[in-house]
Amino acid sequence: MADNAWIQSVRLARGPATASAACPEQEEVVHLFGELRVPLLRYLHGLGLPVCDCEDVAQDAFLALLRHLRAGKPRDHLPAWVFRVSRNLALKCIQQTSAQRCLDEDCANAPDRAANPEEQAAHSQRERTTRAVIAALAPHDRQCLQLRAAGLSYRAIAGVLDVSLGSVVACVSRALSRIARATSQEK
Amino acid sequence: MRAAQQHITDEELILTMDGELEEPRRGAVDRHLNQCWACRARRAEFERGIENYLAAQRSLDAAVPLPPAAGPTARLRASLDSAMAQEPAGWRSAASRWPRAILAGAAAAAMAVPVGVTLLAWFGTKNLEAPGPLPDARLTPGAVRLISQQQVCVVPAEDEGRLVPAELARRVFEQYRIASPKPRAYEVDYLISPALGGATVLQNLWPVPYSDGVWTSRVKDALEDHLRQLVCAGKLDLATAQQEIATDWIAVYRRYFRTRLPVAAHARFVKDSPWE
Repeated sequence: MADNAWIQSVRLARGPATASAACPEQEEVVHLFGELRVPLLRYLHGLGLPVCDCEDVAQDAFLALLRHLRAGKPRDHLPAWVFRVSRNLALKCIQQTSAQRCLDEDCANAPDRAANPEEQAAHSQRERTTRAVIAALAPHDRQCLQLRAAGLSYRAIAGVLDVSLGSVVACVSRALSRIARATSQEK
Repeated sequence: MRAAQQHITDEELILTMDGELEEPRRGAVDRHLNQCWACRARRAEFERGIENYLAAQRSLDAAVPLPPAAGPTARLRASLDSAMAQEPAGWRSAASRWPRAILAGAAAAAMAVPVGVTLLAWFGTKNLEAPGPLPDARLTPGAVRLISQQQVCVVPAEDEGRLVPAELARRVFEQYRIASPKPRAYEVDYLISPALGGATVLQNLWPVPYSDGVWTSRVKDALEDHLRQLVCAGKLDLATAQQEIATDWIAVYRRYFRTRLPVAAHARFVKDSPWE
């Protein structure tokens, strides 16, 4: 039934007013959204934003991307552009209204950070060690890793975080060797 | 041994692994890696770090499930459509502010319906003078929450939040270029009423002047109630009801009540309060 409700509304939305077909930028934005949504939400969540706010931020960022493309602005490194804009929006959101917007009732009800003990027990010792190392990393290092895992180049990450290329590479190598060392000691 | 001084730095090793080391240096690093086991072991260590990181991250991610992509994608399409529709009038930075409270009512919340607002952009061919008994189809095409027929009928009509937030009302007036609206002269009305699944967003609201002829918002309220009864009695499809009321509600009223002018009782139908 829930699915039916979806199909119905989506069909209606695409109904008579298909101005979207005339705009290639719009399709490009939707396509990129499909590709980047999950890593982007993970990244924003890692910044400390509840999932439903991450979703809002992503929506805003991709709407801004449409504007960016329609204005004929540079289209190289669009994923990095999306991450940078989203990051700025997220930080603003966290900063200005942590009480009001970021913790509204919908968010409070959403299943967030379900640290289920049985589930945790199922993980291997190595995984637990790695998780502990990740948790102990400096937030900046953690972000670098996450962005690299999302497929961004080091240069792109430097652009997103507004730091030098060298510092990004140093962060990643530091974090990776820490993880590798911790897990190899374990064995 | 000389090689010890020439070992590759961690940074260069990382850049090489990811193919991001610039060319002149790259050749030298490759050659060194061919002969130096120590550096290759360090590279393997980094690879193991990546592997462990991904495994741990995957399990961390599994603890925080994300909603399926369909809802957010539809929501994005809708706001892109609406942004494109507004483009000639200039971009409005607030265009993307969507309400998150989509499914009202506990029963609705219990059903795991993907959250999102979908715009119903029916751009009529009429070019209407706004505001009036009918909205400007370009400014107010109508927007609905994603809600099913059953959900519409679970929540009593009067429980549906009908109050338009002051800030939103202000933007509605702004959109219709009404500089200083006289208090109590307008009702900021929904095109598709919340009781029929209408959304509290700019695209579904317009200022209806009270003084404007016989087709008042009260008459429209009577029609909405009637349509909702039909929907909940299973005599009318919810989507059809939404579409009808969004296209030309006066024509729909005439058809359903078989009259050219509003029924007298409906003209006195008081439901919503005026904008003050």
